[in-house]
Amino acid sequence: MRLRSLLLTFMMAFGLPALVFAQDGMLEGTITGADTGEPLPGATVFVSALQSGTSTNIDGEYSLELAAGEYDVRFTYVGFQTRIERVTISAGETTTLDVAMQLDLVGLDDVIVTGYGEVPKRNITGSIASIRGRDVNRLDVQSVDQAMQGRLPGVRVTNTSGQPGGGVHVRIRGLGSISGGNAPLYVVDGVPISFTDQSSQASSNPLAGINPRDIESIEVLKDAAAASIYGAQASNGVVLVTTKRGVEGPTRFTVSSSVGRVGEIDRHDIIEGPEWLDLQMEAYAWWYEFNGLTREAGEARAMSDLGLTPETVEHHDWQDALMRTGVNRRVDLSARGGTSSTRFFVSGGYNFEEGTGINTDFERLNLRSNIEHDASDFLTLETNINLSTSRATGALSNGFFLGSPFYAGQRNRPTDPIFNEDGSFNQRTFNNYNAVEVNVLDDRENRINQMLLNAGVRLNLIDGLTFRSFYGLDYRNTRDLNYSSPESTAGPPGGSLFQADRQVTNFTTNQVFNYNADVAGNAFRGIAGFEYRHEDRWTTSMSGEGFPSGLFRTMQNAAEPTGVTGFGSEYKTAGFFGQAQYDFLDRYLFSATARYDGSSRFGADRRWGLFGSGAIAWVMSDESFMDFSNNWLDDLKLRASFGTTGNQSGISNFAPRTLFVSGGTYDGQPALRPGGLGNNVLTWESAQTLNLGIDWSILRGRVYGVAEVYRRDTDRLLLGRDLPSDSGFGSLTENVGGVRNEGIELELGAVLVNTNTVRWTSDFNITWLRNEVLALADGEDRLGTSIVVGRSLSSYYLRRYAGANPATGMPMFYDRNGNITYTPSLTGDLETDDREFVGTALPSSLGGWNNRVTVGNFTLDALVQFNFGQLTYDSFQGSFTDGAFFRQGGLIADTRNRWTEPGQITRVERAYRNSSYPGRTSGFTGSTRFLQDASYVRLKNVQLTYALPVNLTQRIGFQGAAVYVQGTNLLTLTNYPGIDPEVLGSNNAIYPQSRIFTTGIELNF
Amino acid sequence: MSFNPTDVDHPLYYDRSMTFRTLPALMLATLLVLLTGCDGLLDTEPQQSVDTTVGTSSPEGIRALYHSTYNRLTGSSYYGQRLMMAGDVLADNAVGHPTTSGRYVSEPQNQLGTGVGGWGRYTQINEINYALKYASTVDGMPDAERTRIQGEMHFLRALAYHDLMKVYAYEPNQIVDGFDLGVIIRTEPTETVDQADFRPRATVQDVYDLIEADLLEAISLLSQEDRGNPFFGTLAAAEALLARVYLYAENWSGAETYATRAMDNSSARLATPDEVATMFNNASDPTVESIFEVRFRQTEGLGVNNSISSLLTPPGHYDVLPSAELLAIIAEEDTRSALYPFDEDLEEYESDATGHTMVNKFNQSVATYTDNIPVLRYAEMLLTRAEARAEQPGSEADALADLNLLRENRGLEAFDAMPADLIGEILEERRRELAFEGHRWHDMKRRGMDIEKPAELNLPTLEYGVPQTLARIPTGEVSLNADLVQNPGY
Repeated sequence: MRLRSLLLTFMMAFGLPALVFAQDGMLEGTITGADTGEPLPGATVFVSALQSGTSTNIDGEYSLELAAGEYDVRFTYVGFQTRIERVTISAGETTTLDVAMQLDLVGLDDVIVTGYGEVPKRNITGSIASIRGRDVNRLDVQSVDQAMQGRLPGVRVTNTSGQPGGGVHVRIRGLGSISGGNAPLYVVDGVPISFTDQSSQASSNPLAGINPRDIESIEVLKDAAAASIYGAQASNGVVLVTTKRGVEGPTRFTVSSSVGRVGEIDRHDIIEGPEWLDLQMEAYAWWYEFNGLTREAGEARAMSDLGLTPETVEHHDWQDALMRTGVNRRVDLSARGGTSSTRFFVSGGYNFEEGTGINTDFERLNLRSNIEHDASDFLTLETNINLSTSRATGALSNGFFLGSPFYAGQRNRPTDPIFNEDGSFNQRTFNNYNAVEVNVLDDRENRINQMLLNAGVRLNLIDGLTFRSFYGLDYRNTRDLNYSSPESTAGPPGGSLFQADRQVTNFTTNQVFNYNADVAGNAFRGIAGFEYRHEDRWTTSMSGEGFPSGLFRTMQNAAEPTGVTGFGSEYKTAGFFGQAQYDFLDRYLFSATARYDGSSRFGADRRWGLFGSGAIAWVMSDESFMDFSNNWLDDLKLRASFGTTGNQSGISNFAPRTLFVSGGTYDGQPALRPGGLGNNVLTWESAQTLNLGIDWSILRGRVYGVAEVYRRDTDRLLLGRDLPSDSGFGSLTENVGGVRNEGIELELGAVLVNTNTVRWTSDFNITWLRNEVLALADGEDRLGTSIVVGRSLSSYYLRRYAGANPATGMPMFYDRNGNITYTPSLTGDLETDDREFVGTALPSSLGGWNNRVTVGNFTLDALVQFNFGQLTYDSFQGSFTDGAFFRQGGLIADTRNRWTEPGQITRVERAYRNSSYPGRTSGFTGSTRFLQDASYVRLKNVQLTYALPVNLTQRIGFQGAAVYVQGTNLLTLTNYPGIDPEVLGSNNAIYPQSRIFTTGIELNF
Repeated sequence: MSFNPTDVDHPLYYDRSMTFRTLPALMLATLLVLLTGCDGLLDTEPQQSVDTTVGTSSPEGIRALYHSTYNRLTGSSYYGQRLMMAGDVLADNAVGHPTTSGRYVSEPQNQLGTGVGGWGRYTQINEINYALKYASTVDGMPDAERTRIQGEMHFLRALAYHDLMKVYAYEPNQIVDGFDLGVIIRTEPTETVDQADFRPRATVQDVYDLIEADLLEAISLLSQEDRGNPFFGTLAAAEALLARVYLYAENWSGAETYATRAMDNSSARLATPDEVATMFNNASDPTVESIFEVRFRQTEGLGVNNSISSLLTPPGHYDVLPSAELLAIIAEEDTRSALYPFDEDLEEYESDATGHTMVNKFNQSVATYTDNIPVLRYAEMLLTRAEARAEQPGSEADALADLNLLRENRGLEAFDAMPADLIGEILEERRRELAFEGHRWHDMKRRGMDIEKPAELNLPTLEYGVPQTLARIPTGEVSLNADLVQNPGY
């Protein structure tokens, strides 16, 4: 990183005065950006031959005392192409050299953070995708993982909940595990983050404790060459998050603030009261007709059963009462600066956001302090401290809960009033439950106090050899609260309170040697180290009942404690690792990595394993036979890597052991029971990844790109081998089975327009990926219903729906021979079952297109994000169709397409009062009737920024000032009928994302 | 002038480079001392579980395992809910509520594959086998307790196997088409993967022999020592279960003998007419009639989604209603009619426009959605003895006396003269008395009776011996275990 070279420069400048000789001359000048002409403060000027250098002041000026002679002087500045100029210094004279630096869009000299080290981008041999913090700092997101969406090839990011600060689903290069976890390892400033024991009350995310504004960079390690140094935790990929560091120079302050509006993306179209009654009467009429009675009698029965008549029926909009338009606010302050020996970055942030479901808020306060101090040439102390406290109020979601705002709004009978005439909540709804009341009166809350800190000592032992002793702590306390008020219809008559305190203490230390040597263009880099991690969790929870009123909400007021329980667990990992890279002539790059990794989760006979990778890269553009291309080709590099990584996330902490576990209680006495049969050879899932890549750049960085293909074969998958359940146990977890993920990733960037006043840069990335089950348990070619060898892991195996019979309105299906049937067989046997494999829930391609257009002082950023080929089973819609008239709850607009008379061609069957009628297949959910294409193209984020002119801001004492407006989830093109196609698997009443508009201001001084 | 630590000319400067250079060695050494080698490095111990060897070698471990075997009865697939309801819903005692939550929808229709279920009971059987094996060897347990625990375990194992047999196999004297397979027998714990072997079903007779042997052993052990507490297996409970088993096996004299002994040896008695309406509503005591009752403490309830009270009464899921046919045979003067109130009469529940008569046997008497569950009770023994006597020529008068005793305690007139169909009257009384305690389906099955479905359901009569008579063994088990024969028709 630039920091390091700066550091070196300053150390040289101040620490080695003895090198200055009497017959010196001076070199001075001004460094500016070629495109803007603005001075570049803090640019580095370095003379390799003397190991001496300096950096520019605030006006971009530098001066350097040099012995007389001829030198190559290197000028570097982040984001600009490095320039090397030859100068001749004469004793006692001043030589002036002004430099206008060109933007370096590919950033070949940018230092990329890798596992336990950093490497200039040009020397990378593995597959690493990265984001610069400054491109995502301003986004209206609560956690850094959301910022990755659409910006990185091979990385699929799905917001699984619209709850502000909620969970995010990230998958790197597909799904490598069936029963284990598929989430990547997140490492923040060297500390692996624990995701265990999250809130049960509101969707939460341990990464939401980190302010996205504090992010310097995000690196995603995708192939084995990049990730295998993380051994048994690496096969799902590794995300390295680096926060901002101090920079020596005057202290710079940044203050930013924004306010915004959080609204619904869309809303379900539902059947309103009067039409709803008509439909119910129709359903009764058919019911009576089927039973040989008159339709009129059926309609009369409907009115009597429902207590409604067409004359008096009302409509009440439950969706309106359960959803809202919220606000968001954010204030962030930071200061960054330092002296030659001490550098700091401190920040504080406040973020408040109201979700679109009533009573769902997120509020976070966080503080960060990153300090580095050089105690001497040899020793640097570093410490990063991040403290955050957040509070979220949540709502039931991801399930068909009567209290969920994302289900009850449609599920409630639209004829039921929400309020009584006196303004109190109507508790006499058809199901004796008032979702609005429950969401207003009851609490679901989490409070998360999180501390993420690390401290380290870095020693420069001899030239190029450093040792770092590093200690990190990731501590998270989550307090869950679920309060059901005595006044509300949910819960017991006196109300109830459930409270849980969850503590996760995740300690990491590593001791690492780093070696760098550069001899005549042959570079050697080496890493050797040891890491140890201990994660301990502890939960206590209690519940009580009997509160005098909703004003009393603490356990102290509970008349009757109803339960207390506690739970604790832990695991430990340790690993020895090493990496060596040799760059022959900076043109032929060879690297090798190994990690000997162990985990307490593995069986006693398989506790340690060896992981490793090898990679080669060839900088073809530097070959002499490529000289013909020198005036247009900047860089052409071919890469290949192969290696193994592991995944231990599917193994619970004591899985290999035969244990007596808690078995509840009887008669108030504790019970223990055998928890399963042990397996002392249980071990990690193992992935072998082959990666081939090409990096290229032409026309001085105007056009550049990356192309990669990969194949990741995961074997030793953790799967349960079924045991006959009469043995007392259902299954035994074993390492069997395999899955293949393969894909192609393309990244293409260009400066499309670059004039004095207009500049348009554009980055596009796309990933094609597929997934195939290679093997299952011994002799098995099928697991459960839909996991079959040779098919995608996320296949849908469903009955094929053929629409409603035009003559009778009865749902029809295709049998396996393509003939119409009313009762498709569900034998479970692939040969005779009428179900078919009809597609997968994995997208076949995904990506994004990011644009930045600067016109004068205006900058427009726009990110388009897309997903294609993803099918989703819409169980939400299904729940409103099959048996909908039987339950007599609300109906959605699709009901209007129902069959009503002979001859009508439609996909929606007739209305019918009972759950089924003779001949009809009940439960025809589970058919392609509800299988939807969730492909989409989304205008994810647009920002328009106006930077105040520098002469104006400087007059009022600011270095820079900008105002901006931003929109998130602005436009979605899709055929998906629900609210949000960004859905995983099945939409079971998820909390949809929001459309957010904000306006903000940012001041630098 | 500020101090620059790297300024060698500064008076405060001193060369610490040597110190720093030794630091990494020091740190590594410290670390190695702290980590004490690789062997112990990754050792962890679970905090709420113990290795099986620890659990089975201490009296505390055996007692905890013993409580687990009882805890298994409380599950919603067992006495917590399904064993108490499914037998009524599958037969003719129940219909679904019009606004169902989706529970018990296919049961009233007797859809193929919808049986009482309970194959998972083997998990309890395995724990019982564990307890039986190690209770005999564990050091430090008083002999009286050892004997009692073994007796209770034999009782619970017999109950488990009989519950499985009621569902998955024909009774010994009611076998159709020679299909005489019972269920799989396991009498030893599964301690290693090898022991989780594939076994065929034993014959009906073999399983009944095992059940009888278990109960005779339980009776022998519990007669030395029992807890005298109907929340656990007692001598009377073992005798009552043996009476029930003999009734199913049509060993009439055995059934008569053990029903008498169970009634004699139990502290339970017949509830008086005044007690009937509230006999199931005790918060902490067992009902006066209970010979064996599954206890739920207030923190042990199954909640709104799984408890029996939620499925039968508002404001829970309220999915199952008594059939008109059942209500029709409960006369107004019958004190049991109080157990079937009309929901509109309940203050807090008036919204349903038409209203329904509901089953109020289990009405959250212990705590929210929490009730104790009677498994073997006095009235069942009386009816068992009546039926056994009625089947033995010459004992009809005694049978009628038993029947009349129950009728008089339920507010009904005693029969003055021998009714034309004594056994029919006894079975009808049984239907009235034991409704929503899970008996109806099994009583009709053991008598080989066809089931006339409630008229409201508009379904044909379910004839005895159709595939539904025996429940489907979970298909996964059958496809896994080639030796496991599925029941006919599936």
